[in-house]
Amino acid sequence: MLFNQVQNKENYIEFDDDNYIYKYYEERPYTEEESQSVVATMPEEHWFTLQKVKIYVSGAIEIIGARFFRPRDYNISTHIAEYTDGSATIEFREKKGDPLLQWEGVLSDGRIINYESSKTLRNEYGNLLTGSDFDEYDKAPIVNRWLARSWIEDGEEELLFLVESRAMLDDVAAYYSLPVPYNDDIKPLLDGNLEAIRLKSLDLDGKGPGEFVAVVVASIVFEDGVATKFRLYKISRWNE
Amino acid sequence: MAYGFEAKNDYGNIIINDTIENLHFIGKATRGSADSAYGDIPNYSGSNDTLDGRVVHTYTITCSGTPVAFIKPNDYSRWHSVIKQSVSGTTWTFEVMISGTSTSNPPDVYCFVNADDIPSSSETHGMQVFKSDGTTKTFDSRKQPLAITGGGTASAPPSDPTNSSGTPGTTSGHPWNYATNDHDFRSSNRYTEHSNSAANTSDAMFSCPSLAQACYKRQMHGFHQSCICYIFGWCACGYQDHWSTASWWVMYRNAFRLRSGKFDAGWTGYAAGYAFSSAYESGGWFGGGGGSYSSGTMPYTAKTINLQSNAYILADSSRYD
Repeated sequence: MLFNQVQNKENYIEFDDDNYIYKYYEERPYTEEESQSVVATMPEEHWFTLQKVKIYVSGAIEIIGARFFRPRDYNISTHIAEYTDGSATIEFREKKGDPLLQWEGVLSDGRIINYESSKTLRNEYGNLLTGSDFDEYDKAPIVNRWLARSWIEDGEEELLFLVESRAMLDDVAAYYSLPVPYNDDIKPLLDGNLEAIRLKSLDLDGKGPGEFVAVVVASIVFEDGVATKFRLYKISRWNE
Repeated sequence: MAYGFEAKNDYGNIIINDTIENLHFIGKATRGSADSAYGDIPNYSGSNDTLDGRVVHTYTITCSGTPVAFIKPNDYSRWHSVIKQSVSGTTWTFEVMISGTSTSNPPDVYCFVNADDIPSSSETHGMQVFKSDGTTKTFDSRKQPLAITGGGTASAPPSDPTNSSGTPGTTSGHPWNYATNDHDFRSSNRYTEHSNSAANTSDAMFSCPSLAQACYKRQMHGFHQSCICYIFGWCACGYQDHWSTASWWVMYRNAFRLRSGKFDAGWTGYAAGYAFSSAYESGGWFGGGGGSYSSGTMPYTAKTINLQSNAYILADSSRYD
């Protein structure tokens, strides 16, 4: 099971769970009507994992979460996560304001995780010149693209950046005197198949389809202005 | 006219008598702050970013009566107009907009009021004309009456203030996150011209109301759809929609330019903006956002208003220096 703390955790079906969506289909094409019939047999309360997020700190998983969907209303997704130490769960909800990151996280104690896209990301997404590149923070010079900031009121702040190589992660760790976030299991992916753990592919270089940038994300957590954690976001998908 | 003095020109038009209140020079308004902006579209980098720019100079003058402002350009290549006139007590404020972003060479604003609103003069020679009440002055030769050197009716500027052909609009079907403006919002070649021998680029000044306004927006909707998941090779879970909206807008005011023998009625951009929003269904951890969005902060819906011909008056500023 994916979660330990999340309410009704049994309804969130993992990729390798026997009740995952594959169970309902045979290996053949389906007509729209047939598909609807299949979908109708799926329990309403079941949500299927679509993308899984594991956030690593010092080689261990700090937070695990996922995006879930239901085929009966596939335009609705839900994003849920929990801290593996049992300290909190996170539910994401829509929030307008930022031109790109139009959502916020709600911790189980009611605190809000706010998100703000960087000026760099906005410019590369849509030629927008608003926003900040967070120059007031101690930013590792090896990083080329700072993507976003998150913050919890009276709590931690987090600067997220684009990972271009494992060497970059090593340099960032050295800069902040923090342990690298990955472990030996992830190392081969970082070295040979970095895009496999991307959050999304985006046309950040303006080169068009086929040359999108795999947005692999890591972050530095600051508490009272001091870097205290180095996180790596590892995404896996239903087909990987 | 039962009594008094009347002067007519060669065409028989009355210039001075006891009923026409002639305008007289009361002084140049004092220039204050200048606001320079919109040399390009704010918050945008990309094609067709450049705008003409504008500077709004603020002038004040204290007088009783309502002053009529004449703009004397000090850079005749730029477009000028009075875009706002207000009063507090007896202090009048004019906002004069000129094209371009340089605050150098601001225009002078010459102000004229009725003869009766001109402070009394200590000069002992000259001629005054009063209304039949014997106290309301209509003319005073000692106080530099306005001498009109030219004028006429300026046709409205072109209804489309943008250099690109046609007004911009909204189109869909662009790639997701497409944000490249394809419309030239500048106005440099959008004007109507009027021949007038009194127009020159040395001492001529003009008075003409800036009535026409326009506001236009280019908006592009981007869209992308991807399969959420494939089951045994076919898209079993439906499709995920990605949306983006990019919009560029400019608001214009009617402005004027003097050339040798020409009076031009055209446009200058007063304000501009750019908005962009990108989302895809669901939210969380770069998962996108809601499908709905709002963007743009145009002052009103795209159109041109108050488009009409205007009377304009020309005068020689050197008479009042």
